Amino acid sequence: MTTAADPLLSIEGLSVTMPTPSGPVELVHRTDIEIGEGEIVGLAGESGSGKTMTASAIMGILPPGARAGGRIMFEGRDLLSLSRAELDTVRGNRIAIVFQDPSAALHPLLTIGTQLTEHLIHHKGVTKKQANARAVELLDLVRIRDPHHAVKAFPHQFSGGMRQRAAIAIALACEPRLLIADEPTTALDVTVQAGILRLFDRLARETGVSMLFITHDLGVMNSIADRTYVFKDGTVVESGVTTTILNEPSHEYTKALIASRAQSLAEERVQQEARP
Amino acid sequence: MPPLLKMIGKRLLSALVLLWGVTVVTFLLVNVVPGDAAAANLSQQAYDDPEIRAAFEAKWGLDQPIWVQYVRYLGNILQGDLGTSQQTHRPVAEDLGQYVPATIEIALPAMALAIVIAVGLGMLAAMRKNRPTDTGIRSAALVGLSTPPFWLALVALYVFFYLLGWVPNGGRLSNIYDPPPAVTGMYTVDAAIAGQWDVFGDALWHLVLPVGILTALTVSGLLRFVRSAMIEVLDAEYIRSAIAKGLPRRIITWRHVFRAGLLPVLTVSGLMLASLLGGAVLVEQVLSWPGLGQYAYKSAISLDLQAILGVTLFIAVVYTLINLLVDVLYSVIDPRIGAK
Ligand SMILES: Nc1ncnc2c1ncn2[C@@H]1O[C@H](COP(=O)(O)OP(=O)(O)OP(=O)(O)O)[C@@H](O)[C@H]1O
Ligand SMILES: [Mg+2]
Repeated sequence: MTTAADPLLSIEGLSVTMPTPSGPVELVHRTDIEIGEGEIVGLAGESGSGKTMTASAIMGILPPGARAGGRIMFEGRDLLSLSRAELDTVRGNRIAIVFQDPSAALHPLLTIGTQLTEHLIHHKGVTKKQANARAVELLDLVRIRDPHHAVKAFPHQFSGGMRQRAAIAIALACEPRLLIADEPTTALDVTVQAGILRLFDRLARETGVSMLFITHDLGVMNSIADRTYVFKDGTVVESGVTTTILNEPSHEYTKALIASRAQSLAEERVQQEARP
Repeated sequence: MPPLLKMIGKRLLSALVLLWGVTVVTFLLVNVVPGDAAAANLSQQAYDDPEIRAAFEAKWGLDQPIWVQYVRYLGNILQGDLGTSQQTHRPVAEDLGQYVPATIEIALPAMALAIVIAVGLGMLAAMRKNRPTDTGIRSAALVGLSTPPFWLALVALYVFFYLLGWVPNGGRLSNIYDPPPAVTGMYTVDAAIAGQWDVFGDALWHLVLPVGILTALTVSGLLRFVRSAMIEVLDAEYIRSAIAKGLPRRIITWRHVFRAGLLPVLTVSGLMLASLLGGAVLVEQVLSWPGLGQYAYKSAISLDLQAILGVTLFIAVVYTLINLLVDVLYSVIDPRIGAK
């Protein structure tokens, strides 16, 4: 898939600066990222390279004190120049995010049903009854069994994988155009990771939602992203079609990432064989 | 059985065990601590009268083995007999029945007001962390916290009674009124029950200053707990989720932040309420409020043993019941507890 003529989201010269006791530090610099309509774009890079900062800049949820520069164009508007009220009509509604750790991201004292419907009611002006019906549909969509029962449940009654499925359903409630997933499988048990990845893949195909998929696992990238941006020290060092990047990496850093991935795979295999 | 009821049953049982423990301790204090219980409890005159002394010793089983004495002591307590106060020459239970409602009448409204004010201001301070609003609120709380209660009571009395004449100078009721027929012992409630609205108004007027002072003192103590609990919640990832959902500030504040921040505040509030119900000696003294604090204070300085033990037992019951209440509220708010 290629970039559409008019991208859905276009990050232009993004920078993120954080104040520290020893002066401001620029964590993200001059970053350009484009996401086309219906495209799944990967953002890969090692821990601390600024992936979450980039996603937070899009959602307007940077840590207190952080400042974002550049432009983030979405549906003809620069998200960075919107007021809070204007941004609130976009986030949760046109763009939604799934965080890394669903145990921390879901409110422990609110039912799954409430967390599924509150933004739906707010953004779409539907009645509570319509929202509840939609909540059941959404849980069904993410393959949570017995959705009528699940809407009344609290997050602690779910397993980790189920929680992430619920978080994905919450993100999809308002039928956003863009879904950001920030390492959505890293905090999960290995046994359920593949299932969550398949879910993202299927949802992209079924709903046509565009995705910005963040991961440090290039193998994951290979199975899900059409195009990939490789991130290092707060900026993009390489980008292109995922298979091309993985097969013919041009940047030393990408090669190193691939090598470390090969090594960790080998280690995993050794560990698995060592087990009785 | 519903999990909540089961939980209450369990807690009630452990509360009973705890209270039983308290009776053992109080019993040991009276009986095992060296000394003549009759001498400690009877006036000199009564002690010198062999008949009275014999009656006393028979009632408390002083001639019996210690465990019999304990069983008798427990039996007396269960029948509401807490002994007789040396000071008032009345049954301690009767004294408590008079002083405790006076304390409840100022403690409950003060606590309710304090929670509303402290939660409101604490949340505001947390959301405006390190900004002028926050600094202002915290400074005010610090002033309140470092003000000695009796001094605050004196100044309040001086300003609002002497200078402004807005409130009476203490007491529960003006001289022209007789207390309403006792039902609860709380004058406002009893006056309302009796339909004596002029007495009701007068009793309410007398509540303003003590309730106001206790509220101010409690707010100062509670506020920083609310603030730090709310700051912790505001930092939580699930609040970031709520913001990322584009929810209006009102929903984020009350549905997401308030609810989660309330849990730690609940425990502290429970302890503060229990402490208020134990009476506020200094404030009661300045405002001539005949509450439990004054009773306990007078019993302590005159070594009125039965009265002291009665107050101790009452306070133990208060702490136990409030703990139970906090536990129940906790499990109502937090589904993770009730489900276990
Ligand atoms: N609240 C903060 N204050 C200051 N620096 C921060 C803060 N949060 C993150 N950083 C720094 O910003 C840089 C980028 O962090 P970021 O979370 O975007 O990395 P990441 O690529 O998402 O890493 P990971 O794979 O571990 O999630 C890191 O060097 C980190 O130390
Ligand atoms: Mg991250």
